[in-house]
Amino acid sequence: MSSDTPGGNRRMSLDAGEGEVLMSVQELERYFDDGISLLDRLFGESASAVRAVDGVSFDIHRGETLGLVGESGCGKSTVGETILRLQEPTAGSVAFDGENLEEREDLTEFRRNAQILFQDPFSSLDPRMPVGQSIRQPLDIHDWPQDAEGDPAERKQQRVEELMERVGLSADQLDRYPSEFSGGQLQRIGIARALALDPDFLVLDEPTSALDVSVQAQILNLLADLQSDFGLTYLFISHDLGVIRYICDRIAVMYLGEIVETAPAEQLFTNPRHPYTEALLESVPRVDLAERERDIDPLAGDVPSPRDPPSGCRFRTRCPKVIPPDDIRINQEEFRVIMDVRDRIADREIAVEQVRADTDGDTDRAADRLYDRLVDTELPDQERQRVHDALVDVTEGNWGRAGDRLRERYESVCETDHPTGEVSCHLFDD
Amino acid sequence: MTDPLLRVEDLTTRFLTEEGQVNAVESVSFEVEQGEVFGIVGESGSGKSVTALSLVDLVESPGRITDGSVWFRQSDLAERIREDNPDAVDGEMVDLRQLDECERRALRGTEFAMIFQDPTSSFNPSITVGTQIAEAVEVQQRATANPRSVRSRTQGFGLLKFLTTSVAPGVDYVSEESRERAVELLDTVGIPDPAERATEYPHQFSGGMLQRAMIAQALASEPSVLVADEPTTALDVTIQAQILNTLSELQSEYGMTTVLITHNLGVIARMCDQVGVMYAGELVERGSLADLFERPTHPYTEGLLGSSPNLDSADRRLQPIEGNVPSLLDEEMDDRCYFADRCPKAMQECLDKPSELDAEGSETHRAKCYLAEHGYEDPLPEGYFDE
Ligand code: SF4
Ligand code: SF4
Repeated sequence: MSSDTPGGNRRMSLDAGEGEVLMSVQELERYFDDGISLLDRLFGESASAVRAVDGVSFDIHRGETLGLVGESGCGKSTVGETILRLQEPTAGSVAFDGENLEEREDLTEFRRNAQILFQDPFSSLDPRMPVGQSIRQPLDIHDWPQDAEGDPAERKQQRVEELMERVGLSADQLDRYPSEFSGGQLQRIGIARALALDPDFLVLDEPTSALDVSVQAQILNLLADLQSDFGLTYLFISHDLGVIRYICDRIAVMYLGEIVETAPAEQLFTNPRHPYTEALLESVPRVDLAERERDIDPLAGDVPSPRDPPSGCRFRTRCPKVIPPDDIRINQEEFRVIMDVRDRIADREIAVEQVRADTDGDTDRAADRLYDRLVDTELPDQERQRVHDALVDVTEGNWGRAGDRLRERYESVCETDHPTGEVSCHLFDD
Repeated sequence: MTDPLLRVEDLTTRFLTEEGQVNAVESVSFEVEQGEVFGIVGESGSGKSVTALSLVDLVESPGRITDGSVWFRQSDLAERIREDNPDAVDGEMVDLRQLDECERRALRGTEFAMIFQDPTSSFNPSITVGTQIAEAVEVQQRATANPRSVRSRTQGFGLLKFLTTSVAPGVDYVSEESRERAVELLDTVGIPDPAERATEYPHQFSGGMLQRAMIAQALASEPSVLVADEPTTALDVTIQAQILNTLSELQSEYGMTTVLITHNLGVIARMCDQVGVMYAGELVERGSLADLFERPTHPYTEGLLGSSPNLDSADRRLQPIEGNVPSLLDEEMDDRCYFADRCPKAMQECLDKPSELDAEGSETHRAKCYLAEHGYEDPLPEGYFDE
């Protein structure tokens, strides 16, 4: 059943992601709790784990390239390492070739069949080892070849030479050390090593991010060629949307430990659905003469901490389309401003001492000042009054009441309900 | 026609390392008009960052600027210098390289500012961001009043080290006006609730916010020229978009002249009027954005464009540049076109002698390549470089 992987079936799996599932990931979680100090525990400081990967599910079909894209800290590299069992998942399941990995007693076969290529070619090869030996290492570890034909040492040597040439280098260079190669060449050597055992599946973790663009293009072309020659299946992890578009058949977009949208590449780029995907695409500067005139409305703010992610939709603290309650007539931008004030109040992140001192206990004036500081758009009267009242609470130190006052009126489905579905956004709820 | 604001001529910077002399920047020349953004694009080791440092005279040992001039248009200064140092003046232009140390530093504090890829090195971790920017404001004021009278506690940290390497009796006091100005500056660069953020320490800022704060610090000196070295490279793309928008807004608001160094052609496309492409320490092509994007002449420029994945279309195989960047060690560099062994159009003469940058082309669009002179003639035999 694993033999029906002719090279070049990549295009066939392009659109629907149909075909045989090689890897199936369900509700994968990976938490880190090592950052929590004893002191935090003693004082009950909100000691919570970093939820690096928090309930991620996807399938990868045989012969396709699935892209996993997102910004730093979104958990994409952790997904790559966890599905290969280089890190233990906190929860969830991973099935490879129809078999659940937790149920396999012995992962040797899986480890042979699923390899990883990392970003930094300088650190992934042993500097004291000739590169030929590095490429041979996996063969030694896995006792390759398993059949008894010919002289094993000779066959290994042959295999290493073959690999070296397949990635565009010369077998004459096998005795050289990593320091004698450029970054691009080292990445080729890394690829040769990853392919040594003839795997079906490769995780490519930012494989070209450390390279210059001219060399990156060489490596991307090489990876595409190898895929069609050997019928490889890739999980391609990257922050670079241009690279992702170039190499991937389907793409999953991650934000703060979750996948927010999965779609065929073409569709994702021409018709992004999740507001985060949209913002991400809009942010990338195009290599195009018209780029200067393109209007970009960048996302405001920063990504929240994965220790304490927002309730409901994790993107709601930055989402320009956050959904107002049905019974309020307010435009999108105004609602965003109010939600920002609410976030600040929830985090108690408004400095009030100075304002209080400046206004001699006149809480109304103090609240006016805060209002001017925090609200830079014209709100409808009713909303302005409501926000102002909440800020009076804040100047009085009554954060809880301020929060309640605003929640009563502005609570959004985006904060109460975690979106599920193909596009993880309530705008796409049926 | 007025002179450009900046005219760089034959700027050459070398590093004397244990392995030998490294020709990091080799005879680089370009002009930047007032109010314009000049982009320098190149890959690692191309010499673009060293060019930036050389412009503002911040090359550190074992590097040294060994040749060339940086002409800067400033009529008052030209007037003042003319008497003592006539060689250093050309009309309203002054050659910064011929000024004495002290004049140069004073200029740095007032006319030039620089922002870097890593903002953390520009801030002292134990002083609030507001105070540090206020100090930059004071530095500027005192530098204007008297070039020798400034010191700040941020000395030793990136930008301010750069602003204040001329040290004299320190002043720990920062005036109320300077503090207010600092808050204004934080507001200008788009930091929400700036009065509050001014009281925070650098570690309380996210990467993007600290990058903005560094820009505010640079603006404190109301510079005529801003040199930005990979200002968004360390940032995520959504944050990069914020910072680029902020920089463009400031650019049009203050009419600042900017030299922007980047490896990212998208950033070039978004920000720049004129562009220089660097390869192996040399400026190999320069021209307007349209010249470079639509009519690239140098095969390296073409190669860079061909290697960049296009976000808006997937129907294209990337056209990489084969081979790797050459060594910049003097002893390993022959007197020929350094791109020749990666160039798909290399000709015999390219190996005999390098082409000049001012080879025939238009007045403003130039390429250091024989193709600009006479097109493709007398190609090398196929496989010439495969030993
Ligand atoms: S669920 Fe709400 S906050 Fe989340 S992406 Fe959709 S609209 Fe935005
Ligand atoms: S001078 Fe010759 S080798 Fe150099 S870039 Fe031009 S054509 Fe190529």
